[in-house]
Amino acid sequence: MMKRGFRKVVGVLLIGVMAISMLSGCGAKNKETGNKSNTGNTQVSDGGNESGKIIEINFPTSWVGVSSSTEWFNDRLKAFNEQYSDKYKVVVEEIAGDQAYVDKIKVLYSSKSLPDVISTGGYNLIDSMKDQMVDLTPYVDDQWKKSISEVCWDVNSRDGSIYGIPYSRQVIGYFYNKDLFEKAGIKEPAKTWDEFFAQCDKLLAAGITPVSMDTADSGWLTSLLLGAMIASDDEGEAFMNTSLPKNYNTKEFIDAAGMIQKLFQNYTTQDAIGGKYENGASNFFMEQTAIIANGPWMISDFYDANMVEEGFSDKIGTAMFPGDVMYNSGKIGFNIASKSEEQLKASLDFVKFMTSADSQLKMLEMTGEIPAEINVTSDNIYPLVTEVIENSNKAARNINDFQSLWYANVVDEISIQYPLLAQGQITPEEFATALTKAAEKN
Amino acid sequence: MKNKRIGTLVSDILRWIYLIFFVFISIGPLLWIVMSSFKTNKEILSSAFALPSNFSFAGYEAALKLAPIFKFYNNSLLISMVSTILNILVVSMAAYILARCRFRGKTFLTLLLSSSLLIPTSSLLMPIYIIMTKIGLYDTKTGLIIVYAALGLPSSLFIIKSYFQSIPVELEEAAYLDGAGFAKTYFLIVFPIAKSGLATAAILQFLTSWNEFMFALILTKSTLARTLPLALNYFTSQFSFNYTAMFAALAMVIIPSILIYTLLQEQVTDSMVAGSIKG
Amino acid sequence: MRVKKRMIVCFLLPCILLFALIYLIPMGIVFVTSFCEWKSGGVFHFVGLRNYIEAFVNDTRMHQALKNTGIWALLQSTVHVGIGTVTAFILSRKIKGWKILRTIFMIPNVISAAALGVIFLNVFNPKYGLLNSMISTLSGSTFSKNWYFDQNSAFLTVTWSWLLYAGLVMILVLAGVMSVPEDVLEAARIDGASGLQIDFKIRLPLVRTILGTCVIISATSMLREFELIYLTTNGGPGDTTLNLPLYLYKTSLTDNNYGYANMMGVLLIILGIFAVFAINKLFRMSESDY
Repeated sequence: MMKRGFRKVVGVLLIGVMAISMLSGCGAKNKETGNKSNTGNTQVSDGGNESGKIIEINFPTSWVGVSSSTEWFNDRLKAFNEQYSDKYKVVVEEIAGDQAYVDKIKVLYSSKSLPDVISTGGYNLIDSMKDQMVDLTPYVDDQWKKSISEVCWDVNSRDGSIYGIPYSRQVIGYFYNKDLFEKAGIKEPAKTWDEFFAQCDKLLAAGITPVSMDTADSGWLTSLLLGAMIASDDEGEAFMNTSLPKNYNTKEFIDAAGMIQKLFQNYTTQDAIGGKYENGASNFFMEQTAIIANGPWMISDFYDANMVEEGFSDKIGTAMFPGDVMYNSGKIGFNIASKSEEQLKASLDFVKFMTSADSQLKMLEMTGEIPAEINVTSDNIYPLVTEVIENSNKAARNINDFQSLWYANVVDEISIQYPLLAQGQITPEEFATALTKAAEKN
Repeated sequence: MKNKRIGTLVSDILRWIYLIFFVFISIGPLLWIVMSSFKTNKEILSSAFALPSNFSFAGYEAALKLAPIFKFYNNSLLISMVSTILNILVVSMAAYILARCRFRGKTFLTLLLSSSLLIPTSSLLMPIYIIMTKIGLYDTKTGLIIVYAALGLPSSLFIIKSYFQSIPVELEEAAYLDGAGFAKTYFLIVFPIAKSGLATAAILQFLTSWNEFMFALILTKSTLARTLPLALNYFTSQFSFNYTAMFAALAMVIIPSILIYTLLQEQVTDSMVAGSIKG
Repeated sequence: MRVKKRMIVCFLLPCILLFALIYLIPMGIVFVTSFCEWKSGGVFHFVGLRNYIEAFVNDTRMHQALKNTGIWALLQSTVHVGIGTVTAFILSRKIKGWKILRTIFMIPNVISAAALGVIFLNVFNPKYGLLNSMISTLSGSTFSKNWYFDQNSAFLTVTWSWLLYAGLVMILVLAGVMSVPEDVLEAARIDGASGLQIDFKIRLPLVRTILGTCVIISATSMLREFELIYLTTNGGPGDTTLNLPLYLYKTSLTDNNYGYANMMGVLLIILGIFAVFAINKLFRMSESDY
């Protein structure tokens, strides 16, 4: 009696489960079947059909949706899949949002199933994940090495081994609104930080909020200023070229934090505290602030009618930070974590294609990102981008940005401490101590 | 007499102020999202609460172009529905036993199952990811269905269990004495009586599945199994944003769930009225 | 009710299987690794109670997170449940439009946290936010307060995002109140009890188990609350709005310190079991009303 009842229930359940998996599984199957080899379990790829088989390369990317690189990436992906249609196929996993991307890669790392190719678009995952990444040094020949600017190899190498193939250079100064500067009676960008603050006072006197700042998402706009302030002298410059610093209790850092505090308290918008990049950017777009620190990828927005008024781009000037400081560093490039020899070869071909001179040229033209390759230039770009590149060639001090240098949890800690610093609840010294404490956790 | 009437009036007024306040904070945000989806980026960021200067559907067009919304939509619908059915079937059976029967280890089992209510899902992310890859359910709708059915397990269990406890036991016992088997009694007698409780739990389960973000992100990789909340990330990245499109997408995510809720809610009401008449 | 054992087993089994797969096995992993140092990759080694000792002795951030979690759980199980219950009792008199109101109050619970986060950030924005504009208009002078990032207001502002939205409690209590048999109420009315008296003396005690459920759901939801804080203040300024789940998330995904994070997971589970146990006792949940 009971047995039959039991069987009935199990039967119903089984039918239910089967129906579910048929409903949902089928759809996924089509794509799954050929795809198994790349999910991390490599068991399928090495045996199986030999001749003329197409190797699939797993590549999760955040270059989707509104990301400024979406158009470029789609163009390159199409070209690659066409050129190598008989050998490879890139399986793209779309992960929208930079933070979501990094989080997902971390989970994959923890379960030892990193995808073939990773490109974080700037986040430094090399230090925490290099044990599962492929050391690419043997595959980079001299010619290749020479063609790309040295700073780019630097950020992608650890102890002489290369873990990332560079494709882009990080060149950052600040933009200013010439109209607003003129209204305040300012002729040209400041040469020293004292002058910078004097100019801020002039802007305030003319009823203009001087600087766009933010604190959320590691306070990108603010932290760029902070880094540039730190690099005012030789020691500071060295600090801003040091990977994973643990001690922030230095004079340069504390002085810079003090200046940031001053900026927060007197010279920025109300929504800076707690604000994101969007808030800072839109204040600049709407001519409510006169200065914003950011890279040349922002320039295309200056021409976008959805963002700014007609003719906005004509009002914009570019500048080095006071003391002729510029961010001029490599950007973390493409990392490879393929597990088999065959996959590795495929991944290398893909990465080579994505970082080729041709691809870099397209990137420069489509997104305004500065190429890693020294000889890549184009006439077909916004004049402001050229200006930024020229600035970088004149810079007296070249530094790297905090997101690629500092520990991830320090970068996160900045967001937490900025509001306290801004509201005077902690001193610059305490700010430095808090970051030091975070760094020591690693 | 007059005093009493004034008292009623005052309490009526207080009651309405109370209700209006909650109406305001409940639907205000929703209206705001819909309104914002017709504004330009500039308008959203400069004056968040002003009316749009002119109504345009550009945001909706951009949203549909930037993200595969319709595909995610179908996935969300299927996954949410199937996980709800699975959840209610499985949980209600267990809840019935826990509400009605005495057996050794019952308290322990109840506590164990309830403990799932307290676990921050982010702490289980990684182990669950590993398990799903091991049993081959990574990047399938089935995988998400099972995870979602489990995510709603504790709250469904509580709701359904306390409903069973508030239903008089006589009816079932009568059926039982008439010779109906246990399973039959449950599915034919108890299930219909508990309809309102089950429906309430089902609605909550559906909404949990519909809105879940973290697991959807981690447990899927192709657009074949991805769900609607993931579409929202397509509209902001570190250095670029399209607010108009994002609010349009938000509206497209929110409005159907409200519609679905409202429709199902009617069901609950009907069964509730029926239940209370039977007493 | 007497039921054969095998029937009990096969009714419980599917649920237990589901539970084991998604909760029990992962919980086991979490529990074991909470005694380990596990920082990256798959390398971990046993360190005994070190994670726990560190948490209770040295980690001031942990203390703040625990305190906040506790306060929020307490607020949620009292104020939040209170609001939901009052609303349910008002609606249960079938005042005009009660069906529409019931649906409206549930809307914030229907909207995903991702959407709510965006909304609240804009409502409380210091520059153009709704709240500041309203206060400015009412008072006639410009008012600017950075609600989320001022240390004095941050905690309350974050609390706002869930405390008042008691739609779920309302709907559960309402369903319970309306299933109170009519003859019971009729008898009370004949005895001359007023509306309020019926509410307090008859209906409230009769929805006791449902109230208990609501308190459990509300209190424990605070042991899981993550997205709304993450999307608004991210725990700041300083540690003002940090709670345990957020701290756990940060420890695992930004610090990559999985052992320590899993220790917090274990603490949360213990806290939760304790809460459920206490609430169960308080509301005499295991007893039936009939």
